[in-house]
Amino acid sequence: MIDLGRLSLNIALVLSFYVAVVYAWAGIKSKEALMKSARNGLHAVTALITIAAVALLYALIKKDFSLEYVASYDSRDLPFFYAATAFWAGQKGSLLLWAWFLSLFSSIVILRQRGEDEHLIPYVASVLMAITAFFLIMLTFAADPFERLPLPARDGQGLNPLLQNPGMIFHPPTLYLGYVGFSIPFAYAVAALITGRLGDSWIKATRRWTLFSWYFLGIGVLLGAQWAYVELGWGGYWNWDPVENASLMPWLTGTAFLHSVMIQEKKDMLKVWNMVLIILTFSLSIFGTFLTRSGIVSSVHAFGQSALGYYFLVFLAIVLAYSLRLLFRRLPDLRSKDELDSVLSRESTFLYNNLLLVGITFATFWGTVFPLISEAVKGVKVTVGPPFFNQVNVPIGVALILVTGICPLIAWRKATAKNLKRNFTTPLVAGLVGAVVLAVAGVHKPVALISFTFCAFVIGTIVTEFYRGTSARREMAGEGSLKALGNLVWRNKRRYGGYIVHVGMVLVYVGITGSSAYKYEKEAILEKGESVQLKNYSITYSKMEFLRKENKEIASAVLRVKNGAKNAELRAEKHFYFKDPDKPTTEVGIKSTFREDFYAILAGYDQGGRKATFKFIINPLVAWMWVGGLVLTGGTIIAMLPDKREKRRLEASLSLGEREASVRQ
Amino acid sequence: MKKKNLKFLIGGIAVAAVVAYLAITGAKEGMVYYFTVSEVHAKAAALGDQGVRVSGKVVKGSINRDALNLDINFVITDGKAQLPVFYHGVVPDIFGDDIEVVVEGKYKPEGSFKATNLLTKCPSKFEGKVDKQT
Repeated sequence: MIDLGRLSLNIALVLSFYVAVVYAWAGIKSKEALMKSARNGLHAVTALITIAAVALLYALIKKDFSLEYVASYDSRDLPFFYAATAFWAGQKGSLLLWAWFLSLFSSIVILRQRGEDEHLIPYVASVLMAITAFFLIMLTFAADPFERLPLPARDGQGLNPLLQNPGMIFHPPTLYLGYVGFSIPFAYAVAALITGRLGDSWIKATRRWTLFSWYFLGIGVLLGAQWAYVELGWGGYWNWDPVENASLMPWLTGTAFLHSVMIQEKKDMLKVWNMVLIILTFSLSIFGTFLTRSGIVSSVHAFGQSALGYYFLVFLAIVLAYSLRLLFRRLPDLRSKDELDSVLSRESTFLYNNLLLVGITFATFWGTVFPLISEAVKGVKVTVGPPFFNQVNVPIGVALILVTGICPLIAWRKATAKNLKRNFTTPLVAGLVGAVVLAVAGVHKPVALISFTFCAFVIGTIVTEFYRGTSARREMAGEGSLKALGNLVWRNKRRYGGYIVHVGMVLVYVGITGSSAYKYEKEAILEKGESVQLKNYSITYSKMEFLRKENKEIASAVLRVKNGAKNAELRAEKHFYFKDPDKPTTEVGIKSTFREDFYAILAGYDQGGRKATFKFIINPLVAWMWVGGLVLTGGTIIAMLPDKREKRRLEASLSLGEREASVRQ
Repeated sequence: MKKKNLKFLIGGIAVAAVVAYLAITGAKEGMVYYFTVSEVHAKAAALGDQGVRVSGKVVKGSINRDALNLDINFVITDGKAQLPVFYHGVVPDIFGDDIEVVVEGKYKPEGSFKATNLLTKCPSKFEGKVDKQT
């Protein structure tokens, strides 16, 4: 099985080169026979990588400890679910997962191609296969998942207990779906640059891929934050750690890209900017994968255990050099005829949105690579911590929320005073009322107050939009309110799905603002039966229970938490795994309501648990972050559903004197 | 240049200037020197009261902790020099002998370190992920 896996990858490597070359050639020569050969080759690559993936999965499930990878992350006592998902626990499996997703997506792109794409497809496929080839090179020469140990191990090292948690299991694959997904619009962009077909067709063809990737990358980041919050047990969810930043940056530029392509579709503007954004997003995705897997920033002097870092850097350099050169050559053809008319218009708010997002990306990137640069330039390594990131990104983030509210209601081209008054009065009132209510309720920290006010404003604008649309339908079509609302959304899924996504983002903002600005914590050493007070919570340490499970022993501190009339039992625990008794894991106790999370950490205890040390944290509004994630999911699904009316509008605009640049080879 | 374009250009520069200002002041406040154990003995004395970060490996057997007090004393090394560290707070689960850590805090004139922040780097099981406790 292992040999089959290794062999499949070897063949796939050679084949992917063949397909990349032949597809490009077929595109140039327009030869159907070449196309067919390349197409079959592409699907064969997908099949081969699938075989390899299955082989690795099989080895993990069967616990074949002759494989180095299996011995590193699997163990005899590891439950089935974690043995299988150990596939992406380490570097080699993760790279194989990347390659597998990429080949699957490539096949899907080819199978789903429509008539309008046919000029682009050969180059799209060629680029995708070239990227696949890169990963296969690494999988063959630097990170072989099928590497054998000289002697099979008797038992594996097992999966780090911190990773044995459902949230953490889904975090890497969702991120990878996002990273890999962005390869598709990137490949289309490169194909557009090569063929000179610089109009909307590449954007229209990739809209769903972009949305799909944006969604999964965003959810991946959110899942990571949730894992950190629940598992790592320090009461927070984000640290501006290089690895975290690496996943956030492509999401930020991806968000900018998602929005600015709408401007190109509607107004034929920002074409160069869109190219830059997708190149940047894809490059940051590669950079993100590389940063996490090579440990370069955390420990500057070692490029990880293998030469993987160098491979990635070289690949990144090639990607940037090649795509930017292509872009530069096509610059004259990308100029749009239209211009931005006014600083106060929907187009310009899209532009501000982009500037702000890119601003956050730039600041985050700067903070992340600062240690490397300072060391190279000054000889001293200087790091920047959360204070830097928060100081720069929070104001920009708050401005971004404001723009999110303004954009849907402001007029295209140029907003007049009349138009502003008509559209913004209600939401502004909503915002102001919100501000007053909050101030009265005790929210006095300026940044928090502004943030919440803007959030209320955005909700106001979205509600206004839904209300107006529903009323219009009720008048025109005579439908009842509920039916009108349903039809409104259904007939314009893209737009209203987008609004729902905005609502989700606002909820995430609300959660972040609350938990950042109004967090309370307290350490306490309690004897059995003793109580302590934190704000309006009264916490009593009842007892310590010692439980024995099949692979671990648990010290479970039982706490009685009283908040006003409400009473709850909470457990804060330490788990001692038999495999690693010196390294217990802390399992925090969380009592979560929509208003706040009460968070208890068992920090230490004496024999028998007579006395125990706890850290208690009150995190307001955290639950809204996860609710926001759910709302985001709903909105994205709606926005991605096929829409017959949208399709008709699309076809109408494509046939009506398309704004394609002339085809130049 | 057209008046309209000039407006955009000024607007764009204004935004960029604000971001740059935030970044520079943020960096000044958030900037922390990052030393190895040997470097901190040599250089930190000159820095006075400024906070620094030091990376090193926990020396086997050096951990002395009070299970209840959350006070912990340990020694870190970079293979050449050693640095005694004192930290008060909840300690990350990964923390232990031979673990790579980054401590943030103040270097004491007597050659020891008082840490306000303790970050641990997870060993090979999950490359590059940093686990933090404040």
